[in-house]
Amino acid sequence: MLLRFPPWKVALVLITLLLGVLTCLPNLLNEQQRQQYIGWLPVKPLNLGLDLKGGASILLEVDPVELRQNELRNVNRAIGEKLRETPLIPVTSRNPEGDAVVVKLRNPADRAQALERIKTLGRPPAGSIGVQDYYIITERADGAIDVRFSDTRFDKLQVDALSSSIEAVRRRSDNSGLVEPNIQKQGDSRILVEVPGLNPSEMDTLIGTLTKTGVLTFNMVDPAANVADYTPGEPRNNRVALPDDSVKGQIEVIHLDAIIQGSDLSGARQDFDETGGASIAFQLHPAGAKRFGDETQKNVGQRFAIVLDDRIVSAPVIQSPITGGSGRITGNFTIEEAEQMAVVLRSGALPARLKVAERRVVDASLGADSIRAGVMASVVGVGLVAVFMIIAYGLLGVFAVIALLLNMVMMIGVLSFFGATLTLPGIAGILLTMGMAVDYNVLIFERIREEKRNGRSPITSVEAGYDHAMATIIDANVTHVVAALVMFNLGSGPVRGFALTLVIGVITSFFTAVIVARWIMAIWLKTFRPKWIPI
Amino acid sequence: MWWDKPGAKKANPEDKPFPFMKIRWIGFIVTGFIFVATTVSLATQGLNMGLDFTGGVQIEATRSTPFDVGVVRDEVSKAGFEESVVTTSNAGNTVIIRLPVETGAEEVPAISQKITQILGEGVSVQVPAVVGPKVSGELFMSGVLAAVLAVLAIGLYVWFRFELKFGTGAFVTTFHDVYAVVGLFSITQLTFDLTIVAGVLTVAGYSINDTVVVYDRIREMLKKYKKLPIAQVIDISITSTLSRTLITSLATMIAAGSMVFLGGPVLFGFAVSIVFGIIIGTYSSIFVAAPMLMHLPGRLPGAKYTGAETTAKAAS
Repeated sequence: MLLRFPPWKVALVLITLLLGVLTCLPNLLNEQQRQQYIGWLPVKPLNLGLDLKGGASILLEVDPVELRQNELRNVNRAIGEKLRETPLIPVTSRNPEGDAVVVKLRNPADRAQALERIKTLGRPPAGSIGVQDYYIITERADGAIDVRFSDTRFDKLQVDALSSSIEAVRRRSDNSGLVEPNIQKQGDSRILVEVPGLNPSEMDTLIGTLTKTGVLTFNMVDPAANVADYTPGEPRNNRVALPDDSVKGQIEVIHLDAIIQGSDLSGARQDFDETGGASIAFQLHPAGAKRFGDETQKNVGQRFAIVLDDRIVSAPVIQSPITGGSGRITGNFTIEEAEQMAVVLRSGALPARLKVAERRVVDASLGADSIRAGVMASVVGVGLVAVFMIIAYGLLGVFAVIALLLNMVMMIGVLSFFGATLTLPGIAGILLTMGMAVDYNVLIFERIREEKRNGRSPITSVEAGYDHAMATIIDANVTHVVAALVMFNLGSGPVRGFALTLVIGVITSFFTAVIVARWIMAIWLKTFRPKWIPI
Repeated sequence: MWWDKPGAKKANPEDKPFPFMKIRWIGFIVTGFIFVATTVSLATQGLNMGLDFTGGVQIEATRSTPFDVGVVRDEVSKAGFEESVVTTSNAGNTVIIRLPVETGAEEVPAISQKITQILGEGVSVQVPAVVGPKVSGELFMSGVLAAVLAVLAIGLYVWFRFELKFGTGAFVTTFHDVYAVVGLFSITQLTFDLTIVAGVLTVAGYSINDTVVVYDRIREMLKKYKKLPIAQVIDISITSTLSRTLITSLATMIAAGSMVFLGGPVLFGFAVSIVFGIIIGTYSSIFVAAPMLMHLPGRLPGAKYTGAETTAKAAS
């Protein structure tokens, strides 16, 4: 019986509507009133987008010094691997120093052989035309070999670093749940990030998340090394001394060659450890999991360091082999810091730290005139749709219009609840959803009209109308939801936002146009017992 | 209608359906035309991609008094840079202008000079910077892929709920509508930006909705009128849903239409894509989606309709 509304159903409908009105309310009050009357409500008004209200504009730059350092470290590792090939060429030391990797050989007789191997390393892939060797290799008087980047190679590395940074920044801002930031390349070395309406502390958190290099490595601690021999941060003997944040910055010496890298991670999220402290749970890809299992098996009883951006987060003792491919990073950090680290680890590392070149506040990109026109068009549009529905369906049209207005309230409420950002096209989208939401009522009313034509009584024709229209409504809307889910899971940025709005629109429209309007209709039928339905 | 006197007898449209399937050749002509025009236009002139996709040049200027954004925008657009984005910062004393120009490095100084002229005396203009697109290639491809898979998923759902034929029909019809809207933007060379992408996705949603409503009625009528030829069953179905189709289309059109006329230049393209999309979506649910059920091979509910021969005979 579609027209029976027992008290619990009525209560459910009323509670849902009330929630909708409450979540919508913050949008109607100014900030002061909001604090005063409904400060307890965990819902903020809709964020207004860059076009309506402006926001923060941040210019980021890839740090060339750190980029060179990081890339030299990779070269250092590659040279090490090359020299270890059989027949092994022994070295006394091999380290990045300044803008070069310095290799000192044990036997001067190996020099020609070593040079040849390093040269092959720096040769562009066969078939590339017009590309010079990657490295400039010089021999010093004392017999050491210096390996530097050629300028063209370093320029290329910078270009690559910028484009991979842009993608990482995009993933990070998507991951941190902010909607609709603008991310653009500016010039040859900068990234422009524009975010709608952030307060200064939110902006600091965002900058922190975006600029962290996020290079994670697991390295074995060298217990035999004498800490006094090392300057923190400067590699020596393929080892490096770094401060351990979990024990008040105490210096530990670790092996430079990592057992696990950030790229081995398949996932990371904020979690809690046994004592309730914040931690980060991570999973490894199968290959990484196997390597981690092997290494921990070999080194039971030893310590390994978890290193993030050249600081040791913690250095736990390997109690037993870790073969499951997942684990937890604990250390000295708050829940917010753990959350930020998890976002950074999930979105992948930057090739180098990003520097903030400039930050400022920008005004709305649309003039007041454009905004006024957009709002005007929306109000007139909804008004005209309402008038049209009443002309087409009379009293039932009035029911539909009530449902329509409630729908608008619900939709704004749900969007506020999710912390969505409203742009001018977004307003137009909501208006359009209203235009389409009347379709539910149109489908039902047309069915009622048909049933009435077939000579049914008012109550049975209304009931049959709902009954028959329901299958169509469900099919038409499940298709929408299916499409939206696919778009939400595969798309990014604006496509995701659109998909989310679509699903919210489908749900609120269904609730108001099908359930609430039917309830109103049931009340009308019960109270007035009409002999004839005006449709 | 609601203003009719009680007891007024109304004719049942099912008794006298409009012979849509007799004139379905109109559909072939229109759709053929849309297909050819869109393809030719896309191949020859492509889309007029907006600042979101192409990137451009950013010029920043400062003076001691606030700028009027509206005036600057008008001036810049008069100088031949329509679709440029003008924003202020620094309490209005700094104006940031983004121009949608192809970034040939030799043009940049000339453009900078032109803008300096427009802004007038007492303004210090910074060295222009080249700005990349808002939508990177990777983002664009992932968006297109997501949309295509979404439409495919809809086809699969309709197949699951109805029959394979209906699924194929829904898939083709949705692509037809999206292609037509993209075609309109190529032919008119209206700026195609992120807002229009949202418009196109909305049109896809609307088109599916319309198609499913018509298909749903056809399925119902195929079960009700087992003896009638398929063409007539389709005619009955379309005629009996026609009132709903028109009312919904009109309601949505009113909403979108008010944006075309009152929404200002920012919403114009979006509103145009929706209005055109509604027209196409309504047309295609009748003249593309329904005839496809007659011409595609495969069975329909109600065991009578199994092959192309039956339908061809029924149609003649």
